[in-house]
Amino acid sequence: MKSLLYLASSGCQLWCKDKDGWRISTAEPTEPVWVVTDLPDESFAEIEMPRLFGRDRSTFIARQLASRFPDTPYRTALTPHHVSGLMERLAPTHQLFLGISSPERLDTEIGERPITGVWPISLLLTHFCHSRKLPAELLVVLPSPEALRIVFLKKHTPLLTRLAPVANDIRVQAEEIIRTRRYLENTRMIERGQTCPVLLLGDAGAFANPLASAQMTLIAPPAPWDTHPPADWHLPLFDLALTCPAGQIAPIGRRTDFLAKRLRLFALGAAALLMLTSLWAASGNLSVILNTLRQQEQAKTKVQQLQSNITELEQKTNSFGVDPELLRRAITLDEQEVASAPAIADHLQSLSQVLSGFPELRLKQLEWRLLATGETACAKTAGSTVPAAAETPPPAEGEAKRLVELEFEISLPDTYGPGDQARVLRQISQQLGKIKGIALAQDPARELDQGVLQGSTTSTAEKRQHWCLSLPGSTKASAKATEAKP
Amino acid sequence: MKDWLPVFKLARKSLLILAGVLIFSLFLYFGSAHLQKQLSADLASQQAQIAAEEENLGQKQKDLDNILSHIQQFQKLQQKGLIGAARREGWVEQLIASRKQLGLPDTLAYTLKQPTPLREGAAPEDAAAATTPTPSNAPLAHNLEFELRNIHEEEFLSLLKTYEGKVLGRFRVQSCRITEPSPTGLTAQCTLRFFTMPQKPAGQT
Repeated sequence: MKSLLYLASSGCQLWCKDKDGWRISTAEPTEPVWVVTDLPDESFAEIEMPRLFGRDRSTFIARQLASRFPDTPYRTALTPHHVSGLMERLAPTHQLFLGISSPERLDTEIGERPITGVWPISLLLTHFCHSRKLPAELLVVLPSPEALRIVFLKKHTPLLTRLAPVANDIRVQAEEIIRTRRYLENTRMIERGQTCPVLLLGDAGAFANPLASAQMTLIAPPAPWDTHPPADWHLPLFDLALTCPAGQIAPIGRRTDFLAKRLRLFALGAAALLMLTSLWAASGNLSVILNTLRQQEQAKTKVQQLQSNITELEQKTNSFGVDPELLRRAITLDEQEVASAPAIADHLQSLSQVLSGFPELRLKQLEWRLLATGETACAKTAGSTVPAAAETPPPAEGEAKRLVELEFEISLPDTYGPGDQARVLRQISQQLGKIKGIALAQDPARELDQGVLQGSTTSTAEKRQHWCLSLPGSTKASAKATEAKP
Repeated sequence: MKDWLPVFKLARKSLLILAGVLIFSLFLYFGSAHLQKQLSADLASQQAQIAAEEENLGQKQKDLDNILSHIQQFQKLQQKGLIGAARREGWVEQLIASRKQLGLPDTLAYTLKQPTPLREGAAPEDAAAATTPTPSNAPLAHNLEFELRNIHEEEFLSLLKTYEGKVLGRFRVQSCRITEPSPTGLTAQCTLRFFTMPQKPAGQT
C-alpha cells in the first residue's frame, strides 16, 4: 500500500492507495511516502545561459539555482520541453528552475517521516498536460475549495504558476483566471487579443460563459479523462506522482531511505542479472570444460590400456631373451650378405656345361669375383667396350642387384685354323649367351668382326682366348624383417 | 556526491553483494576461458601421448611378430656364430681340418685378415675409407684368404661345401681364382668373407 502526503495551503492530508483506490488515512505509514505540495510559494524561473558543457554547465546551473532559490533546499533544475536541434538538446541555452521558497512548512509537515520525493502540483499539472494533442500554449486551472491553482504553459514548458486564495466561488475564480490572462498579456507572454485555451480540471460548464467573454476557450482534458472525468482531479495527479515523474524537489538527505531501498533493489537485480549473464556467457566454456574433462578421462584410460598392452608385449618379447633390434639386424645381415650370395659352384657348373661340348679346349685360368654394389664388371679388362651393367636386365622391385664377375681364359689347339677358331669362339659365346641374365663384356667372338686378327704359321704357341662377363645374383631384401627403428 | 554517502551506507550490503557477484562473474567467465584453454592444451598433449604410445605399441607388436617368425632362424645363426664374439681361430682350424678330412694335398696357405666394420649397404672396403664413424655394434667382415695347389676342381668345390657345413661362422665366397692347370691339379686362391654381429655390452639398451 502506497501513501501520499498532500500539503495544501489549507492543511495536510495523508492519502493511501489500495486495491479500492485512493482514500484518506490516519494511520502513520511505515514506508516512505510520496509528498505532493500545493503551496503558494512554489514558482518557476527561466534563465538564459551560455552554451556550456560538462562540469562548467552543472556548476553554472547549481549557482544560478542557488541564487534563484537561496533559502530552500526544495529546488531543482528542469530541462525545457520541445527544444529543437542537436546542440540545443545537448546543451540548451534556456534553463528552467522550480522551487518552494519557504521550506519551513514542508519541514514541519514532513518531520522525520521518510519520503520518496516532493512533487509540486504545478509540476504534476505540467506532466499531466504534456500530451501533444493539447495546445502548446495553455492555461491549466485546478480549482479547489480553498484556492485556485493556475499554471501557464508555453510550448509545453511551465512559465508561470500561482495559487489564488479564492473561495469556492465561480465568478471570483473566473475573474482570477481572466486577471492572470491579462498579466500574461502585459508581460507579453501571450499576444493581446489572442484566443487563449484553458484546461479547467473541474466543473468546466460553470466557467464557460465568463471565460468565453474574455476570449478564452475551454478545451477537453486528455484521454481517458475526456470521456470519464474523475470526481476529484487531484487523484489522477496523485497517480501521476506515484510514478515518480522527473522534477521532484526534495534534497537527497530527505530521501535517503527511499533511495537506499531503490539502490538495494537495483543492486540485487543487477547482481541477479549479472549472475545469469555470466552463467550464460560461461556456459559455453563450462560445457567445453566438462567435455574436455570427459575426453581427458577417456584419454587417460586409453593411455593406461596402451601402456598395459605395451608392457604385456614387452614381457612376451623379453621371454624370448632376444633383443628385437639385434634379431632384425642379424637376420637382415645374414639374408643380404650370406644367404643370398650366389654360389660359385652353380656358376662353375654352368660354365662346365658350356665347355663340355668342346673336349679339345683347355681352361687355362678362371676368376670368379663377387662385385661390390655399384661396381662395374670387367672394368679392368682391356678392350672392354660394353659395360656389363648396361646389358643386365633390371632387377625386380624389392631386389638388390648383386653381380658376379666371371673371367676365364681358354687355350685352343694349335691345329685349329682361323676358320675353326672362329667357329668355336662363336659357338662358345652363343652357348654363354643362353645363360639367363648374363652380360658379356669381353667376347672374343665379337672381336672377330670388329677387332684385330693376328696369327702365324711358324709359331707353335698355344692360342688363348679371354672372356669376361657378369652374372646376376639377386638378393631378396629383408622385407620380412622389422623396419629399422628411427 | 557527499549527499549520496548515507544512501550508499544504507545499501552497503546489497552493493557488496553486487560487487561480489561482479567479481565472481568476471572470475567465472575469464577463469573458465583460461581453464578451457589449459585443459584443451592438456588434452592435446594426452592425444599426442596416445599417438606415441600407439606407435610404440605397433613397433612392439612388429618386434614380437618378427621374433616369433624369425626366432628359430636367429637361434640357428647364433649357433652358427654370427652373433657375438668372432671365433677366428676356429675358422682357420676348421679349414685345416676340412682339408685333412678330404685328404687334399698339404699345400694349404691361409691369411685371416683383421676385421673391418661393415656399414649398412656398403662394402667393407668402403667402410675403411668412410668419413663417418661406424657404430660400435656395427657388423664386422673378416676376409679369410687361402690357397691350395695341386687340387682338382671337384675337390676344391667339395672343400668349400664341407667347410661351409662344419665351420662355426657365416661366410660367403667373395672371390676365387683358379690358375696353373697341370696334370697334378690346379691352383685355387679364394677369399671367404665371414660376418659377425657383436652383441651389445650388458646394460646397454
